[in-house]
Amino acid sequence: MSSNPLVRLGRAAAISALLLSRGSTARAEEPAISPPRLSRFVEASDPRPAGPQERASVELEVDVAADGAVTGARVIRSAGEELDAAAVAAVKAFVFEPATRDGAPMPARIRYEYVFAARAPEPPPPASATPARAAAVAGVVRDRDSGAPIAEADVLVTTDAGATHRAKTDASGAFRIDGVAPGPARVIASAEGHVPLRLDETLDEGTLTEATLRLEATPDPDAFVATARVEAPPREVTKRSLEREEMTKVAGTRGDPLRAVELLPGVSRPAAIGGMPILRGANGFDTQVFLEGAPVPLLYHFGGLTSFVHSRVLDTVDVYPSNFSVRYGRKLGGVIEARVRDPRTDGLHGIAEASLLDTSLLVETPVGDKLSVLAAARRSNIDAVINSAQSNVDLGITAAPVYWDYQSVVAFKPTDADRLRLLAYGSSDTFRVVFKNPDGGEPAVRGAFGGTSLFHRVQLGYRHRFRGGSEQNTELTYGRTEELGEFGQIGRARFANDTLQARSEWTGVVSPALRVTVGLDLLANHFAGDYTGIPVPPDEGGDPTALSTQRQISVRADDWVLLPGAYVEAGIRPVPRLLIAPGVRADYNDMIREGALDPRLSVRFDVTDATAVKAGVGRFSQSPDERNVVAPIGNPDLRMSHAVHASAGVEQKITEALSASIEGFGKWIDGAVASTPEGRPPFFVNAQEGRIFGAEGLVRVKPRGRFFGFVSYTLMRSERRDEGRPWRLFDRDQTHILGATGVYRLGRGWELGASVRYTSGTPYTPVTSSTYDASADVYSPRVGRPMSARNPAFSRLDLRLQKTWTFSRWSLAAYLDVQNALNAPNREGFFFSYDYRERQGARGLPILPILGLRGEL
Amino acid sequence: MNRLPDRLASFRVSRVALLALAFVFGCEEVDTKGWLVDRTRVLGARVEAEAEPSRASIAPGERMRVTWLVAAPGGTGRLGWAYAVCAPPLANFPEPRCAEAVLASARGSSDGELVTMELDAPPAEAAGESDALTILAAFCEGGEASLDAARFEATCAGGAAARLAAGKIRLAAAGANRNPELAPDAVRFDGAPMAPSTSRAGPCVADPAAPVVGPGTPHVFVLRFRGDERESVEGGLEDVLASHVVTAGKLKRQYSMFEPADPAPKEVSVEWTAPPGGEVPAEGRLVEVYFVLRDGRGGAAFGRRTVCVRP
Repeated sequence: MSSNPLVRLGRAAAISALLLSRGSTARAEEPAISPPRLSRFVEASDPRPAGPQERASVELEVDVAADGAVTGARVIRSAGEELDAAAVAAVKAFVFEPATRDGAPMPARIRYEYVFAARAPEPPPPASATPARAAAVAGVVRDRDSGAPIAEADVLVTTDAGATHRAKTDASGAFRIDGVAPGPARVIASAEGHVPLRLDETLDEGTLTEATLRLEATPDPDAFVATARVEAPPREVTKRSLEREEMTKVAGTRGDPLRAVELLPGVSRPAAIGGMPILRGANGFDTQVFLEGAPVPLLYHFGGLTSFVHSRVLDTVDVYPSNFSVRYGRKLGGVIEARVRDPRTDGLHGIAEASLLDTSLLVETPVGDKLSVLAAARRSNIDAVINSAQSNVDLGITAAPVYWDYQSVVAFKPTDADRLRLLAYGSSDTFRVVFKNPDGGEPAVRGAFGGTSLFHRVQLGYRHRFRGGSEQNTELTYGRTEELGEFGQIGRARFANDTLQARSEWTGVVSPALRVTVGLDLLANHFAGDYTGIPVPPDEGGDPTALSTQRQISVRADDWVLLPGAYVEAGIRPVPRLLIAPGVRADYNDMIREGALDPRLSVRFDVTDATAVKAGVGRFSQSPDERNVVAPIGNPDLRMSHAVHASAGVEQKITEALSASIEGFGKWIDGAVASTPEGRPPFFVNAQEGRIFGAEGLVRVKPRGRFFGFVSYTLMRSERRDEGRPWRLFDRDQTHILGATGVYRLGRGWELGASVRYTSGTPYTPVTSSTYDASADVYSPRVGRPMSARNPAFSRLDLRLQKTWTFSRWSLAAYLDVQNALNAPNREGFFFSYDYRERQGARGLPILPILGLRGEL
Repeated sequence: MNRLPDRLASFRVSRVALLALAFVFGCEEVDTKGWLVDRTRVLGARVEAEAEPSRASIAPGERMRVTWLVAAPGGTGRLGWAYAVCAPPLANFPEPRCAEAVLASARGSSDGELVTMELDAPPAEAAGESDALTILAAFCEGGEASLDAARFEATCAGGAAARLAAGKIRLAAAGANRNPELAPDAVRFDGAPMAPSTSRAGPCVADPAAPVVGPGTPHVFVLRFRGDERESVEGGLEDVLASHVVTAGKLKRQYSMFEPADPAPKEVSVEWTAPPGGEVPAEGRLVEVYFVLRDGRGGAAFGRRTVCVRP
């Protein structure tokens, strides 16, 4: 060991490689994104004259391909022409273990500081020429700041002769490598969540050289430091992802990432309590939400209050407003995919949060070296508010709204290449209210209304990473959903749904120019239950109707539906800057005995390092809902609906933090299921067409400093044509959609955020007159031209102020999240007088301040 | 795939949740004012077999009557009317109109709030698979009514807007049904019995059936059901919807319900506030209160009471 290791420190390593991409960090405890790791170091030929030399370094920007090869290296900070050239030549011969996202290899760009070590005077020649005895290297790898040992760190020793020796640190951070040839050697330590570190040592024969390697943690995203960025692989033409900062700090969302997606381009506003977001003009029911690849039945508690999963459990949220990959199917609108992070492995952590709406707790800890566990639960507090306010004599609330959800993750990593993960989550919404007397103008609205919406999911997932970047993912998910609904005189529903999904995907890196993904996706649904009541209104474009005048229907179901699917997708790079991704997906529905074959293609070309153009086209298919197929209320002859998506756009990186994109898109829907006029038999037919055109833009400042935010704008028109009728507007069509959000870190723990949303008013079908129904004592509205009127524009300003106190072992944050801070009276519809001659706007959410406290350990 | 319960949950539970949240956050309840006769209004239709007026289910070819209750704020004058009878379409959300053949139709005129139309029920085969018929009616103040049954539109000879109303005629094939009855002593006003009234709208006149109250004063109507006036059906007694409307003042609500599981007898009370002084002339104002009962199976009954409001 050198008398002064610091002198010999060849601190070669990425000074900032890595991290965060799109809401994912490369920290050890959140490894969904992992940076490239140096697996083969090549020493540069030092061009400096012989003799003692000072330490010198060259800072480089290095492109690492998905197969780990270096495809480019550029000098960022020069140390002189000769040293620069030598460093570039050496770095181009490096080999990395590629960066990955959720296990999938991806290209990355990192910064690397190549250090030419200080050179001491030449040692005297050896006294004899006897064969050298092997040397040994041992030491400890620690976190530079905390001094804590780092387990599972990779230690690589390379010698001038080209020999490579590997070891992993144990739980105490210690390592030892024997049998190393004496002489100059590089000792490189790397660990997830840390910047790799290199020591240049001269190993003496028969001697154990000891070293302590202190690794610098990768920059904490919460610290707003400048970092390099690992871009996700451009698998889809349009993929909007939220960074973790954006997910949890957007004003008006209470830190709910699945609410934050509503501000992204192409996302129209759903109805006030409408459930699914409207992605590029598609019906909300045509969009699917996935959690870790498994479809989930709902996105928000009570249709919009807050999402069903704890925000701090989520790792990434990706929104595919159209042209999504063949990995996703059975829907023709869009896809939202949320991914759960692994539990942290660096000790016990917890988050406790309480607000007016709900209270939650999250705990996570490692159990041994290879196992880690996370559990989170949340329950609403609304019932405490409602129960204290139920004095109204006409409305008896017997069970105030209560929602709860839970998530648990157990991750087991027996080896570097394998991960076994057990994921369990569930959600429940319960509510019951009794109208003691019939509602004004509608006697059917009386009695008990309410229901329970409950689901559980258990998923077992196994991932194996092969050498060279290939990967195998298999997930088996069982789910149960129970729906109990009681709607006074209108209807009663009781359904249980058991879901079994098996999904297996293999991604193979055939060569640097070809990556292939093949997957099987089997979904089996068993649904059983009954419904008695009035017919369910159409999903879209329905007219106002009187409830009391409708007939009663009854349906009982007990069926299995099998929906096998398979897909294959290739990523072809004929030249490094061009990615062509053709794919095809096959789906089958055994209930309607019909299959679909959907080809899709996307192309992306990096014109420069900062500019990319992209385009895509694809076919998408969707089965009819079971309720529309089941006799006697449905049509067993219904077929699949289809859509063609096309889009093209440009992405421009302006600075490290600032980027912009613009994209045009179109969707053409054919054979969509629509209700027949007046709901006559066969009640539903594949007779609706749709056409959607638009353009959207996004300017984004990433969380790299005190400020982050984005502005999005969408210009769009979404139309439908029912059988035999002219084109009309989609009932959630919004011509202009403007969203903007920003968060500014004021310092001293203060943070201020604001979000603005402005959209065109949604169309509606005006009521022109009414007729009296003497059998029910209600008026039935008569309507004008479908969707020929619009509500006023919608606007909303949300504000968020947060103060965080940071203590040595924990932090406490207090926040005030104010939705609709200006109390804008946005109209969501109408209340009508008894005979529809007069109407009054039904306003949406009034100003809603939510105060909350959050403690983090 | 989306399932039926998902839809129901998203559509209906959410609406109820919205109601509850609106309640929590203090949104105002919207009063549709269905309890107010603020213009000429059809308030109900009673179908009865001519041979047995208490029976609301009609046999094919049987002579029958349909009596409409048409109220107006100042009393109902002369009305021209027209009707058409047809089989209803099988549809989830049928529009009230005669899309198929009209089985019976006529025009006429009458005076007062009860408009009676007499006809012969069509033969069984004319109704097809339906166990009920639809009757469409148009009423015109001061002129003849002309009805287009296929579009359910009407014109009045005098140029006034027609009142359009649809009703249902229960056929015997659906099972027998009896019209509910509103007993003479079923209504109490501020604790005192309230007899049926024959007083006409206008200034108050001394009438034991019209209690006198002051403008703007609060009062309570109580509607009492013994239970034996309701028929037994599967699951217990049939339910009865009571509609109550007034020609002036403010009624707490439009509907009361007698559910199958309710105990018998059952009383419901409805608060009423007399019209303010500005709406009451010096000679007083007679306020009419109408009660209409419906059993949900084609049966109906009418009741009328009056209150005298004097400054």
